[in-house]
Amino acid sequence: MASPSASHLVAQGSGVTIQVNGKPLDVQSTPDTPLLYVLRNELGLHGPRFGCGLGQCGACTVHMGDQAVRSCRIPVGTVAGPITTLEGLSSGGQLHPMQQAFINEQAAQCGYCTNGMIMQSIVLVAQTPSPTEDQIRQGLANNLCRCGSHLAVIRAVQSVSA
Amino acid sequence: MSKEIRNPSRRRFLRNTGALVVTFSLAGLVPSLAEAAPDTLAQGAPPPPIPIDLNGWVKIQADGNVKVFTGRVELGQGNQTALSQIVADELDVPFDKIDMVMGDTAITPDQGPTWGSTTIRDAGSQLRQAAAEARMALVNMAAKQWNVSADSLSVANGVVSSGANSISYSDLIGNNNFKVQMQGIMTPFGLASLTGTAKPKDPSQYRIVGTSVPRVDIPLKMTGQFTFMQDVKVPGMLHGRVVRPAGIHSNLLGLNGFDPPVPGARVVQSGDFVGVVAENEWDAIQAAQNLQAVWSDWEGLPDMNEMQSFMRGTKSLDHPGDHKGDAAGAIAAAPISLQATYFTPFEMHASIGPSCAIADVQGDRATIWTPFQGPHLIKDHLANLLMIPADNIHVINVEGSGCYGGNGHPLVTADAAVMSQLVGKPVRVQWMRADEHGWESKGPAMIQDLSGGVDPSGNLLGYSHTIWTPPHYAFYYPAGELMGRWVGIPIPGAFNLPVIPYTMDNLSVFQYDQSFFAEAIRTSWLRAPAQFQHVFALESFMDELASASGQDPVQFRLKYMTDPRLIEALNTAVTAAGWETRPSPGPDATSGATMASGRGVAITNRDGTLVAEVAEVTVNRSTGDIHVDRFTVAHDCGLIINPKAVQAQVESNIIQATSRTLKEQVAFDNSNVTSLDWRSYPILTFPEVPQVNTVLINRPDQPATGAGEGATCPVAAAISNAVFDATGVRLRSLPFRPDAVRSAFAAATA
Repeated sequence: MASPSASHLVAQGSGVTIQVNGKPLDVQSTPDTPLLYVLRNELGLHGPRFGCGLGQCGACTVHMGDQAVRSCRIPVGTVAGPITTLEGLSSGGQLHPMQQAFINEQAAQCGYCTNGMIMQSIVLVAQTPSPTEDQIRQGLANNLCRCGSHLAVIRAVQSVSA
Repeated sequence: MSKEIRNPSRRRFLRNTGALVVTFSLAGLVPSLAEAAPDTLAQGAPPPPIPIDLNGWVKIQADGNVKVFTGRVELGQGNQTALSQIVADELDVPFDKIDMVMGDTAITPDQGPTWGSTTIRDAGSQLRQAAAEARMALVNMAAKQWNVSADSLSVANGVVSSGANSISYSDLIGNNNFKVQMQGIMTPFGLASLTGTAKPKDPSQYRIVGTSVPRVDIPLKMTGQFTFMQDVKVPGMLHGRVVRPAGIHSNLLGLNGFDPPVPGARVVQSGDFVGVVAENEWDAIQAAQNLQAVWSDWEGLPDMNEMQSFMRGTKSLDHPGDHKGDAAGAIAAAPISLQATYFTPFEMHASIGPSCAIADVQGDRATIWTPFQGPHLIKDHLANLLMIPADNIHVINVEGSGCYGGNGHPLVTADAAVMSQLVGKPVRVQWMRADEHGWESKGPAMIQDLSGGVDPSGNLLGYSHTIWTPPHYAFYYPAGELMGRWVGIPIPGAFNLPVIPYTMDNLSVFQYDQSFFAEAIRTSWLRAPAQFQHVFALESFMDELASASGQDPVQFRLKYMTDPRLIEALNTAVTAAGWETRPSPGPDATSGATMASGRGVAITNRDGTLVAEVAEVTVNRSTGDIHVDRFTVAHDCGLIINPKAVQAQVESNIIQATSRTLKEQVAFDNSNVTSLDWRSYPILTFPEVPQVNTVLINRPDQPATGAGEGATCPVAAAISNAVFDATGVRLRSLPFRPDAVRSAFAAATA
């Protein structure tokens, strides 16, 4: 049975610094740790969620620069660009319009996938400001929802982009 | 060595438990079960009423807020909001004054698990009664204080008034308790009824019930501030991961350390149960991957491509269902008789968030944080798993990812409890994706043999429906088996035989239980358990009979329907869908074009919720792709508490059941599940989601029934019937994946 070794303890930091929601973070985890675990366990950011660890479902989606990326598949040592999470979307006490639209449309059942839906939809509308319904569906094709809140999500995105 | 799980009887399952098993009686709840299993299920009348203290349900706070306690939990359907609406209306307090406490075994009443789409119907009516009792007690206090008749008082916004006098609820009761006892019938699955002396309001007086109050949990879920089970942290907790056997019932032969090493992690083992713990979550994940565990070969599953013949050869219990006249004779004598077999595969709940729980077991006491839908129910299971008294276990429900039934939530809770007991510290266990897909309990595969007779005028002369199924209402814990303690719910599967919503002279329903897969694969309930499958077979076969006798599918059904609410639902749906009265198949079936369109109808009565659906599909005859363009749904669940929430449930049911119909099937080899991610178990994606046109039928004069499952039931039949209408080809096996559809087309033209 293995025992903890001092060399592995993370108190000294990993030497990696990333920007999260506008603030610098000296990462304590090892550089191979997926960004998702750094966000959740070092910063207590619970917007991004573990769904598959395989980049298949989208629950862990964050923004890296202006791209929507899967934080479960990005070793924190390879992060290239400022990270924005669901918690970092609001500004001046105002929710991001996409968050407000999801609230207005009640666009969630359990809400576990919702982080990914919102983060992906923001990039979708930034890249295609007036998407057709088909473009919204294609843009969210790699975000999975098991509860069946898809139609409410589509209505929310339409209300922002209209 | 290999562990044989061949044709075990349920008796063996029970004898092998060693540590407990059936600690409850189903008598009076499910008579057919008591008949089926007299050896384990106590006989007798329902238990006598017991006193229920109102203080366990409603507490008026000094600040005017009202704490309400319920054993039911939020699973994402809006229970918290809807139950709060019911209480606020009955108690005459503003909606935002209700503070709902859910699913904590130390302080909430055991109202049974949040299952079967029963929370509004059962827990809602109980909370309504409790709120009515509280209101009456408070009004009586004011009447006594002012020496006036209680009938002369009015209440608004938690303030009782009489002429110039007025006093708030909080001033009336101060810090005192209610002195009100109600009466309840307690069963092994929670409180079955709650009665008292207060008369709840007439529905015409509702002001909050019936309105689309926004769900209270939604804003926090949109900002990352909501605390899911996966977000809970307990001081000093370790992160745990499970290391499951190679085959479902493999034995552990040895552990050869971590390769490569993971210095921060250590192994937790008891018998064949293996896990790892670490202070750092990523260390725990790597440790589970790197642990070199050696397992015995277990190849006890039959050839799953020959599952149907295997299931037919391994029945364990018989359950006669509805029986009337002489179905076999009538079918044999009918001018037109049909026989067909419908097959539905093993399915997954397939939550997006892998199951997660935290346990803190200290000596003979335990605190458990779990997303499981039955916090009270799981206490006995954990007591038998941990060998500690159930009364020493405090279970706190925290909402997890949607569960849709008996998924991994209880199972991971047991994993966390075992690991915590072994390491003496709080342990948080979250399954990885492959753990979830591989080890959650599966919705059972079913075979259904149908036969029926009609005449050329469209008269239904006889109907016979025979089912082969593993249990839907069972589950047991991998952690328990691995430790040699068989713990779970070993109930045979005849919990709900098919509901035939047609009145006819000659009818036969029969079910064979098949217990092998309950143990070998571990089955459990999955949204609309068995009825999703029953209605697929029943309503597709009704379509076959209608077509064989040249009848329009709606008119054929209406001839044998007697429930006026179900008839209205069907008429509403077909009107809204613009249904054209004609037999199936339709014109596209003979057009020869690659793309063919069609429509299909199906209905159900799910525990008093009446649903009719019309599906419109487009089929690509070349590729076998089926696109469901639109569902039109008429939905009658009695009194509607929150219309927007019901609409959301209807859409949810349609989308998830369309996914089950078109895509879902668990794959196995002889040893284990091989569908271990979203590529090997695909679910419906945004481009494939149908439009849903929902028509809600509100009946304020009727009890509220459930909206969580009813609309699931007709989906597969409506789609199958629409494909037949489009192409003339009948699909009788789920899922309708393109390769299977192409094969069906090829067989039909061969």
